[in-house]
Amino acid sequence: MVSFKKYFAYQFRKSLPALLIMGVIALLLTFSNVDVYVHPDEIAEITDERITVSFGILAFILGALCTVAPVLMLSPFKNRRNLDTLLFLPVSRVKVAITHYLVGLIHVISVYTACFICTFLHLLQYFKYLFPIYLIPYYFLSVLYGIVLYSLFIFIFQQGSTVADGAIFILSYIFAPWAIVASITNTFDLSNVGEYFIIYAPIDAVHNFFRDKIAPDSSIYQLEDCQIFILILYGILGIASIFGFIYAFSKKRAEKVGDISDSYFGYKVIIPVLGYSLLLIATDILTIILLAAMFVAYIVYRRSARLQKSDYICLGAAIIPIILSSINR
Amino acid sequence: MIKIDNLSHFLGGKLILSGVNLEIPDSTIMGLIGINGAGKSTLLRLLSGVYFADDGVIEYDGRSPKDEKTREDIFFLPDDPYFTNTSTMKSILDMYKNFYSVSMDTYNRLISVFKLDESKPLRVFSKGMRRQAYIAIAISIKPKYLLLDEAFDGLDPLARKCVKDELIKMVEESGSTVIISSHSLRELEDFCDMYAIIDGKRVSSSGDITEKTNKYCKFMLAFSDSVPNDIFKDLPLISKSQAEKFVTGVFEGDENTIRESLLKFNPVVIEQLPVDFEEAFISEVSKNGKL
Repeated sequence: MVSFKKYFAYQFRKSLPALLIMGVIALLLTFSNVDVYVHPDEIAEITDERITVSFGILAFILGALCTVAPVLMLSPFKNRRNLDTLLFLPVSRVKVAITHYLVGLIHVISVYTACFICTFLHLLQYFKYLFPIYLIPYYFLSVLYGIVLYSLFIFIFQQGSTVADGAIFILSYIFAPWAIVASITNTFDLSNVGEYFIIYAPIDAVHNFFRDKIAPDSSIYQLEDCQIFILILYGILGIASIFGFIYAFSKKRAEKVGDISDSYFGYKVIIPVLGYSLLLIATDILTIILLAAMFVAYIVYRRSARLQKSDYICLGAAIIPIILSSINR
Repeated sequence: MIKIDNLSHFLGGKLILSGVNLEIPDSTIMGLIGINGAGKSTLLRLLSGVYFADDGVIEYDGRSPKDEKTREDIFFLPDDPYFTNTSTMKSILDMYKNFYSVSMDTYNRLISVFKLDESKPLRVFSKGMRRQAYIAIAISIKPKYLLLDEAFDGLDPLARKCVKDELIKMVEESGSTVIISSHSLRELEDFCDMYAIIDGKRVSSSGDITEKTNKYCKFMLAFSDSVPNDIFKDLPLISKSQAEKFVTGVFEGDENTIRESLLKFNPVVIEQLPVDFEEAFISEVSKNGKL
């Protein structure tokens, strides 16, 4: 426990400059983007005047923090030289993983909380037009889904053997759920709910829901059943990601750092899954562009133009979604 | 005692170490020797707990380096330690102070001996100065087990002498065990108690350095005419060099027996030369077909 406390204190102190920089940028964005204006009321029973509040920047900042913090926290472990000086220290790998997870999470929550307080203070003078009580569940639920998103991203980034691979995985996973769902709904002619599956969707749903509770407008945002399902699904995935990250970190071989990222949560699965999904919804010239992009993705994966047999098989199998897509049209 | 039992490890699908066995007694300075790519750094990373072995066991008095308690006794100094643009000797020391007890007396003495400014960024230090800085920190920690990878690389002769003296002093005072890898065999000869040669993915030879050099003998012979063609034939010759009427050979075996055999060629002069550890190493490696 002593080694954990010492390592945590050291890492937290070390990360303070990054926290400060993130905090300053986030606060500047908050100050310049929270917008309020009062206008005549359309719903007479509430008040004579109504207010339109725009604080979507909070959701944006939370999403951005959850994306950047894992990269900042785990980048030192993507450098072989750094590993030599970090991994022999008398702290177990599980404790190292928990420390970096927690330090990053503290960054996310503290910066977001600072931005939230600033927004709160800004809205204080307009409280008579608002239902400020909803700010409390809004804060806690947005933080909860911030933790979920951060946990998902830290797990995804951990799968990369380099910073670049980790960043590519994060970018891919932002759109992969949308692409999969969109391709399924497109193929089976169902209503397209793909946009609800974009990885930032839970934060967006929480924000939209509470925005209209805090400052009621003529249109009230209603959560669809599908969105409630996604909130539950991402919650479960978030919890699984915490354990998955700690397990993957403690088992990761230091000598693999800098090598090809061969995790099953990485290129190996992302390229065919994302590629085929997009091919199922693509048409005409987009199909050719996607095939070329898949080929380039394999080159990035292998770090060589000499692909392996399995890569060519995956590229060849792309004919199936192309045929399915053309039949569907 | 450090015990390595049947250790094997792969890097990038390539077998680097295979069936390595070694025992290193306490309070010993052991030189780890091998040609480039032999696996010295890999072995040190396995010993430090940075890498986990694919097969085999490493034990420090019966404890695994995977255990954080064991690692409290281990300090590993890699050949190219990481530092940031703002890292100073002081900031590096502050980091290690979180995990190890540091003798500030030793630290202050060493930075004075090496003439290092602890507040200057490490990036402005020369390679040798950086090396001195890290060695000063490592010695100040006085770990029970100190693992040094290419520690003498970039050090000037005076600094090398100083580092050797300090390491010997640390071993005598604290009973530490030091494992040091180096290409400079001559560097290890005069201060290591033990050696281990890594060759062909395994420890091909290990033991006491003096015993090792005593296994070989070296003779120089001078002839009045030309050197006989069949010279050294049927002798346990390891290496030979010839210049006109002079010929020198390194042999494995008893020096008296070999001297008697050489006298049969009727040289004008026969003189035994000292075999240093480097020659013994080259002999060992060439015997195994690596040179």
